[in-house]
Amino acid sequence: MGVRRAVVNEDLDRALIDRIAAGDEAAFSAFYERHARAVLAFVRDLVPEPAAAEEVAGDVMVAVWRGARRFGGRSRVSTWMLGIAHNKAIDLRRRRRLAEFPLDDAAPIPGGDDPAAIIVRSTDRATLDAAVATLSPEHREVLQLMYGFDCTQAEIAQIAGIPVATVKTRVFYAKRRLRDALDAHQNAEHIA
Amino acid sequence: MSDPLEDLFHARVEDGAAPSDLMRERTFAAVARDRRGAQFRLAALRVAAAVVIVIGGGGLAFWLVRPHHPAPDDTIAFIQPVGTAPAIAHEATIVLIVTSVPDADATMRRWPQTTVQRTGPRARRIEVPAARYRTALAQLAQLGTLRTTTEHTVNLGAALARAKDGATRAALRHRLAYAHIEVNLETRSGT
Repeated sequence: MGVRRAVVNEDLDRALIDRIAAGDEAAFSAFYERHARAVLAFVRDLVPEPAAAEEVAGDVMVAVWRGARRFGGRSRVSTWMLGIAHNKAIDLRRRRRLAEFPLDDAAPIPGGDDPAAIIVRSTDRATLDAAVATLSPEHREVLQLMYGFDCTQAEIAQIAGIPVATVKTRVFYAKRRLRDALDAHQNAEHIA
Repeated sequence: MSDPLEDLFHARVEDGAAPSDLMRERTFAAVARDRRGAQFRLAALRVAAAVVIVIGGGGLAFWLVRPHHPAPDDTIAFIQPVGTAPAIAHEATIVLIVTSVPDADATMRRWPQTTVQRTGPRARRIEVPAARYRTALAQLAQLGTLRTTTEHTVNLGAALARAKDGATRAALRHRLAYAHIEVNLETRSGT
C-alpha cells in the first residue's frame, strides 16, 4: 500500500474505521493490508530493533481495532494512527531506556545547500538512508512525517505531542543535520 | 516538479520492510481474542436484567457479594474491568461510583469520568464513599438478586483481598469480572 494512496483515500479509511468500530474483522484485515507496512516503517525510525518495531507496530494495529469506536474524526485517520504509533514507540523506548541523542542544539546555522538540492545531485536512496540513520530518532520522525507521510506541521505536533513551534525548530535542525550528513557522504565519495 | 527529498522519503515508507507473518499472526490473534471478549460481554448484557458498572473498588464488590446472595435467578451483571467499562457504559442501568478508594491508581482515577459521561439517561447513578460501600452493595442487592457463587470466584475474591501489589490486584479484578460473567452465562444456558 502507499501512503499517498492512503492520503487520497481518506474516505475509504474512515469507512473502514466505521466498520471496524462495529466489530467487522474483514474491515480490520483490509485496514491492516493498507497501513501495516507504513506503520512499521514509521515505528522503525523510532525503534530500530526489527523485532521490537514489529511488536510495537502490531500493538498499534490492535489499538486501532480497540479504539476505532473512539475515533472522533477530528483528524485524518493516518494522523490518529501515527499518534498511537508514536506513543507506543516512545513508551517502549522509555521502558527499555534506549539511547537518546541530544536534540535541537542552538548552535549557529552555517550556510549551505538545502538537503533537497544535494539529493538532486546524488539521487541515491542508499545515500539518504545512510544519512537519515545518523539522525536522532526525533529528527528522523519529523522528517519522515513531513516528507514520507505528507503531514502538516500541525499534524506532526498532534502525532508527536509537542507544540507546533517545537516542530518547526525540530524540522529546521533535522534538515540541517541531514544536509551535513549528505555533505559528508558526498565528500567521502569524492575522496574515494 | 516533485520534491526529490519527498520522493525519497515516500520510497522509504513504501519500500520499507514488509510486516512479517509473525506480526500478522500475533495481531490478528489479539483481535480475535478481543472480539471473543466483546461477544462474551454482550452476551452477559443480554441475559442480565440490570447492568451495574462499578467505578472504583469493583474488585471489592465481587469479593463482598460472593456467596452471601445465592439465588437461581441472577439478574445483575457486574461489569468492572478497567478499560472495558467506558465501551459498554451506555448499557448500564446502574452506575455505582465508589469514591475515596484507598488503592485507586492513576488509571482508575482517569476513566470513571469517561464511563459516567457515556452512561445513558436510564442509568441510575449511586455515588458513595468507600466507607459506605458495603451498605451500598446491600442496597443494590435489594434491587435484584446477586450471585457469584462458584468456588473459583470465591477463591479469586479471597486472593484479591490478600493481594498487595497493584498489578496482581488488577489481574485478579479482570479474572473475577470474567468469572462472574461466565457464571451468569452458564446459569442461563442451563449448563
